[in-house]
Amino acid sequence: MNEAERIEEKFKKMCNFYNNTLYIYNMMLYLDNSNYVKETIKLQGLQKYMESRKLYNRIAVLRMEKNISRKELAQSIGVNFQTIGYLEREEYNPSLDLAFKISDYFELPIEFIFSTKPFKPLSEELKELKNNPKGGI
Amino acid sequence: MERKYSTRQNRIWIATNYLCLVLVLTLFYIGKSLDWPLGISVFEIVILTVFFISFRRAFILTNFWQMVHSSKKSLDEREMEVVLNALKNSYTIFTVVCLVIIYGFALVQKDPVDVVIAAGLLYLAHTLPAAIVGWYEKNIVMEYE
Repeated sequence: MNEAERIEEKFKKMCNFYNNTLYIYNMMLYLDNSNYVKETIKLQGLQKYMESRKLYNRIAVLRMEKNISRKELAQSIGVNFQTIGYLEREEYNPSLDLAFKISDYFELPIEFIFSTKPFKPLSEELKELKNNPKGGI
Repeated sequence: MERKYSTRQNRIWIATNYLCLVLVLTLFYIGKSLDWPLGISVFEIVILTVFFISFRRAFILTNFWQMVHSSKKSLDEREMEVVLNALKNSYTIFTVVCLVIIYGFALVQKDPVDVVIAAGLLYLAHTLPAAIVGWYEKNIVMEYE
């Protein structure tokens, strides 16, 4: 494995660790004292990454479990109730602060409430949990 | 008491309001030039009434007027984003309308823009952000006292 391949592997591992689709590189490699090689490996998903991704959430389900209205939830977290409607319809991505407020209200980790991928139906998750009791959702 | 209205209904009220504004201004100049015949005067009063009703339904009862004139502290993050976008777009629209009117008057070598048209432009400047917000917002709730 040459220097360029080794560095590419290292970057890929970093990007997988941070779980993003971005791996853009513009690398300057000094192969020896007199030469350097500018390695532009790949711009894949950079444009996609820069656009805002759709966030899926379970706010409607959690709200119904707690038997509270949109107004009550909105008052608790300090937003307008129409914003709750937009969140539930997944037409608006909350800021990190708002996401944490919602997470604190429902007393669940953020990743249980929000996701960049669609949530599986509850029945499916319960079946998985039943088949694999040690695993989590 | 609250009533829910669809986006489509609110768009109709907003369009009605601006159409009435144009009609009021046009009828004013027609009436003025014909020395206010009875028919035009009555029609003008009817259009003005519809104008005020549509203004109340489109901007006041929906709280969009209050939203765009509120301070940042009283808006949540989504409302702030919506209002900022509306202000940005209304600036563009208002500038274009002003330029069209000013250059239109200059091209036909009419008298300069007078107080009546200026009042119309002032109204447009004040209501455009609320109109843009109202045009795109969903699940509008109107609050009746």
